[in-house]
Amino acid sequence: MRSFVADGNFKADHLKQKSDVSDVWLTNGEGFMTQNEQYDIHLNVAKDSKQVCKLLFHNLIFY
Amino acid sequence: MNMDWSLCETLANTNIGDIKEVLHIYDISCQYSIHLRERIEQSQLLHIPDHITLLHAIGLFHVHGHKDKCLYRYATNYIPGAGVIDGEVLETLWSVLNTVSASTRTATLAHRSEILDDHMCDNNWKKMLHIGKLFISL
Repeated sequence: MRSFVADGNFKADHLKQKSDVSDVWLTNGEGFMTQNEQYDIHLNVAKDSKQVCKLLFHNLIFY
Repeated sequence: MNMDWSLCETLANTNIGDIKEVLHIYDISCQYSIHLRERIEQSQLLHIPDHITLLHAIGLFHVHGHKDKCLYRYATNYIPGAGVIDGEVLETLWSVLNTVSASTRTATLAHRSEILDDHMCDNNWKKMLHIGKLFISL
């Protein structure tokens, strides 16, 4: 049996730039990161369902 | 939304092969697992391989904060085949990773992603090198 541990609770604290174009991505989907294009499509399509949480978790993955 | 993506990508990219059961330990498994299958079926991009049975569990530290019925359904103690695990390993790994926040704070989004990726790969490398010592000490 393979097991995976998942968790949310994450802040993306980084330098904000004037435009997205000025940011240079060296990788796209390699290593632990996800592919930006696919992920963006998913974010547009998926509906965030409201769940009653007993504990507060903000879900973010690296992008 | 993000957790669905991360789960499906993990199942696709971590060489599961023929393994039939996957244990997914998540702090809000009790709510997350309810409509998971429906969300995945509705989406074109999300996919769980057919031969995989997903078992849901909650990490031991968090399950004790839930209702009583959550304990017996979701604690790893009561899931056959789970072994003796607490399922809280992610938080311990992240506490180590927090020390790089000084450099990521001043990085652009792309650069930050590279920094974190490098550090996580380094963590894995070090774990791999030293795992023999762990087994010897047991």
